[in-house]
Amino acid sequence: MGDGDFRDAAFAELFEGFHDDLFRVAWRICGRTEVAEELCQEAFLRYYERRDRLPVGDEARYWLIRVVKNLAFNHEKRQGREREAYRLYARQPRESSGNEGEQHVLAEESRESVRKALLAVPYKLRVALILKEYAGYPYVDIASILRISENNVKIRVFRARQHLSKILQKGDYHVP
Amino acid sequence: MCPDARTLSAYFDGEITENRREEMDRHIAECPACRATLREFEAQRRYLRSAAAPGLPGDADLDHFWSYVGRSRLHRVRGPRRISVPLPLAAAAVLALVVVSVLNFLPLGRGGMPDVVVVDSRPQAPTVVSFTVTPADLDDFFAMLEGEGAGDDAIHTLPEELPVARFGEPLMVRPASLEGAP
Repeated sequence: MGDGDFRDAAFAELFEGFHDDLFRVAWRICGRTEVAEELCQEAFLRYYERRDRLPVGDEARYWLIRVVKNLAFNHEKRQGREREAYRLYARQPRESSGNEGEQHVLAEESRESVRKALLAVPYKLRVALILKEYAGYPYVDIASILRISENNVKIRVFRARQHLSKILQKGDYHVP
Repeated sequence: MCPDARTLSAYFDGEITENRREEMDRHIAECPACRATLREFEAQRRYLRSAAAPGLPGDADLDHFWSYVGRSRLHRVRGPRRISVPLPLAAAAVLALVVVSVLNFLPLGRGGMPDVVVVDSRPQAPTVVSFTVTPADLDDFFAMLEGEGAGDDAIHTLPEELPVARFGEPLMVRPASLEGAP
């Protein structure tokens, strides 16, 4: 097996082993399925194109999260300008996915509620909280991913919680 | 004395040293205020985890990725689209590009600017990425370059016909050939 084959096999392993997790992180950050999928594809493409120069293992995962985070940030800035249009879209009745059951509706409502609350948290703080609460990374790993100090992670996570607390108190959210 | 809320947050995440944790365990056992703060963190966590992320679309596998790569590459080599920047911001864009390029590539100690700013050292042909950056996106664009491209070589070019005559054509942003690059 040549070096290229080895790298392709390693890439396939990384993709298969991390795609789902990366998608979930991307979805938590941007809140939209189709955007999250696009961000993941783009991140993996960038990794693939530079795979001979990029790290492997956990560092590769951190690299991918970092790219998704940067891409999501750019997307969010654009989305800010399109917010009004999106609000109009969001008010329209959604197409049914075929499952009309009550559980499905409740799950959708719950997901939408959490998504909305999270998106109201400032971007930098939100990313740190998402990596803690959903990806389950310890502060030291989040610091590596975001390239900030552990103390900064601690501050961002805490401040994200403060923001979220205010958002949940002010809005119409059901906190179990 | 109560620990500050930031420390309580770290305690909640299990990010406290063993000695400090024992000390805080004892304090929290006797402090209703700290227990209330921790209960709030716990409620938040339950809330955040009450909604699962949607599943990936069924076709989001490696084959789907390869087709994305194909589409994406096709898009990328479809000839360079021009970066369209209105004249008042063009000067700022050029200036910023020069600064970024100088910071990234200036060969300190060699004296003078290099004729060709490069280099992708991979043996295969370089990937040409062309896209349009609107004036409002310039900050994000540079932030993205800084974030994703840290440590990587890159070439930033502007179309030759961009009306930036009064600044001349900066050496650092002229198109570069990768042929024969190391």
